[in-house]
Amino acid sequence: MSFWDILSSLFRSSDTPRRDVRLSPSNPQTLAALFTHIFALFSDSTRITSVQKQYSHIGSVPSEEKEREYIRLYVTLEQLVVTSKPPSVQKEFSVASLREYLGTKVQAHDLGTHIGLLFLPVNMQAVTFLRLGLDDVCLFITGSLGLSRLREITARAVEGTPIEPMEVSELGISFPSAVDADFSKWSYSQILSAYRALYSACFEEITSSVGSASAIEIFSRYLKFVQSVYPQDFVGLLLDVLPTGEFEAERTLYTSREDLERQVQERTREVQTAQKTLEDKLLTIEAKNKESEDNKRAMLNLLDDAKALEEELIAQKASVEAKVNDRTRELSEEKAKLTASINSLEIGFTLVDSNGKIVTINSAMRHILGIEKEVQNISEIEEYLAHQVNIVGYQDKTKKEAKSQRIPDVTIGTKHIDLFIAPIFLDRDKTEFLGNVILITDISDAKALERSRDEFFSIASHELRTPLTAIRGNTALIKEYYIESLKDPQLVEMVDDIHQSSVRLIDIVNDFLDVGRLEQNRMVFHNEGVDISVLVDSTLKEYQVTGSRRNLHITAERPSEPLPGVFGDKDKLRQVLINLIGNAVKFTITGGVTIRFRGKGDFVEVEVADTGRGIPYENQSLLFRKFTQAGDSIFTRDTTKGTGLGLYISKLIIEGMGGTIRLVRSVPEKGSAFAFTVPVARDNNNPPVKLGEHLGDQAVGLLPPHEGV
Amino acid sequence: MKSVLIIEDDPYVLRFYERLFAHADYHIELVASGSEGLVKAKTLLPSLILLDLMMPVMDGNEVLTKLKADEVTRDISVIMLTNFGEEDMVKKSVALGASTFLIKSNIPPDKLLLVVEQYVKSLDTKHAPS
Repeated sequence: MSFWDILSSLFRSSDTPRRDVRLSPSNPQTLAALFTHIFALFSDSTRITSVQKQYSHIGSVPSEEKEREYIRLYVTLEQLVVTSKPPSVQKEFSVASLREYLGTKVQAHDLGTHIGLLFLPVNMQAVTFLRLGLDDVCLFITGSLGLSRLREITARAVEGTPIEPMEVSELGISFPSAVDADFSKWSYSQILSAYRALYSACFEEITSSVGSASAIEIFSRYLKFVQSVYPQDFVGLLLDVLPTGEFEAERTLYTSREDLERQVQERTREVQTAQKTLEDKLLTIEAKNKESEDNKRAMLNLLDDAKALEEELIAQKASVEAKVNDRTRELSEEKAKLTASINSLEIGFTLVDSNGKIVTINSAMRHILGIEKEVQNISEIEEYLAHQVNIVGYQDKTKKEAKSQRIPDVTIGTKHIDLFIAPIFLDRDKTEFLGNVILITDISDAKALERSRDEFFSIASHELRTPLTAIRGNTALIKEYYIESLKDPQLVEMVDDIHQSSVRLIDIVNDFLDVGRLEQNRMVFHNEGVDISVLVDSTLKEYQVTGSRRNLHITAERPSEPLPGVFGDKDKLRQVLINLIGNAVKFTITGGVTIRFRGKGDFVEVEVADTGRGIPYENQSLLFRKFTQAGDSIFTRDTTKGTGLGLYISKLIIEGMGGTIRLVRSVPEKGSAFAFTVPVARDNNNPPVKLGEHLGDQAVGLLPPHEGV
Repeated sequence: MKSVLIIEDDPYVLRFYERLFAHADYHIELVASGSEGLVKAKTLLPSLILLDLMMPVMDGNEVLTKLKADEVTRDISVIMLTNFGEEDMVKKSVALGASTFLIKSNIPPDKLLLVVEQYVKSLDTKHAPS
């Protein structure tokens, strides 16, 4: 109901019953307080100024109507509060919470019963409200049938019900105050059904005495009052209790009104929800619209960009293609060059990847190994190598050790080859293994050449030795036995010259043979335990006898501590000593040669030092090579002083025994010192543990190469 | 009187040996080929044979083998003379029965005399006077 409806209903006279329902009056102060408090709940006093006017207007209303008008006004105000929201009102109230609140502000029991019942707990409220409805009924029945009859029928009706303790008079029903509190232990429906019984009993009594029309009239009075004053739920309550069969029209009206109200509320709610949904949808659509617009714009931009990009791409692609073609051509040319180069090599070349798959194999490789068919994998090559080389094993070795491997002088049938295999890594750090390069050199020719050279030298040397034997032998014989017959001293000298030259030539031939044997590892070392200082002493003795013509001293220092025995070939050690001492004597004018001994761990070192003219610094690195002497150029070789092979042979001999030989020092005009080391013999003159293959033979007994000059 | 048989094909060397051993106190016979040597060995029965290794037709090792195969000449000591000094050749000759090995160009004549004398002397004490 709108506010104006409420106002206008206050002044409608049609609802005013002919005989007013008797209302118990409220205490004016309490009532005033009630209204004050409810007015106070309105923040906006402008809303309620007219209501307040009505409130004050009620003061001038006839007193019988005052209470009713106050109740009406209160109910109106109640509705106003409950349907308002802050900030219009102090806070949100429901009807129940409002009554509860007001109940705390005023003394509700000082209010009249009809208004006061609003503030009662629900059971009590129902009890009070419904008993008030029987006030006129009790009066009527008492007037027409008597009080005892009234009491009789009412007592019967309420027997066993919550309202049994009621007191009935002609003024109505009341409950002793002590009973009031107990209604909380009954259920609401029990209270209603009790009243239903009571109302029915009274209605029937009146009907049977004066007819139903009068009964309806009597009961309708309270109904009409309730309809015009109280909130709708009280109307419903009363209708619930009035006898069924009667008052159906009112019930229908109430129900439909209730229904209608409910439907209206629902519909309003639905409409509100629908409206909200619609608003939301609208917002969403607007948002989506905007988004769509944005997307459209973005898409148009993208299309433009894409188009530009595509054009650029086409241009770039053309440029790249051109570059690629150029590069491909370059690479093809390079590849062709490379392939041609590799194929023109005389060295066999094979490239394999990390799995042993053959990437490239040149024609030289095929030719050398006799490979005619296609080969895919490195393992196939082993067959062509007559299984002499474990190629696959070597591949792994190069990979693991990150080092090349050289396998020299592999014999395959009649061929000799050198094999070289190198690992290929992606980078310096040698982390990624790519494969191998395999190189093969056919050294068959070189080997044959070498062999024929060796054979030539061998045969030549031996051939040379035979006539030399005759020359030297005869000159020696002459010198020994026939010297007296040579009267002419010139003749004597000539014979001597011939003898010396032949001896020299024999030395040269011997040196050639030694070099040949040493270089090809054909020299046999007869190693044994040797007392090196004893050997030196005996060598020196020979030299004293034959060599010292120029007043040079040749001495050996006593070793400072006893020297261990060494392991070596006695004759060859002597040969080395003779070479070094001979050299020392050759290049020394004054002073002499000193031999010293030193222990050096597992070796004994023998030093031969002279006081000769020394060796120029620039020649020192050339000393232990073939055909080089300590002179300057090939033309300044002093051919009277040896073959130039002496140091070279000494080096090969000493190294063949596991030792080392070196120039210790040389100072021009002061002298030189050479030294060699020989390994120490183990117990029982056994060979030292570390040394190589050609040690360990026992002596068979070759006589020394030559003695004396 | 002790005798020494020399088998050497080079005429100059042979003549040199002839001169050299003229100064010795034993009888020397010299032949220039292996076949001649074999015959001579049987008839002379020398105390010592100096045998050249490198000879045409029949080389020293073949001669040596034949000498050792024949019971008449088996016990005669043989010294190989050669200008080869290869180890394997030495071993081979020694295995075939040679007593030792001399390199002709390397050994001075006086030394050669000494060696032969030593051998003859030692054989002298071994054998009963014939």
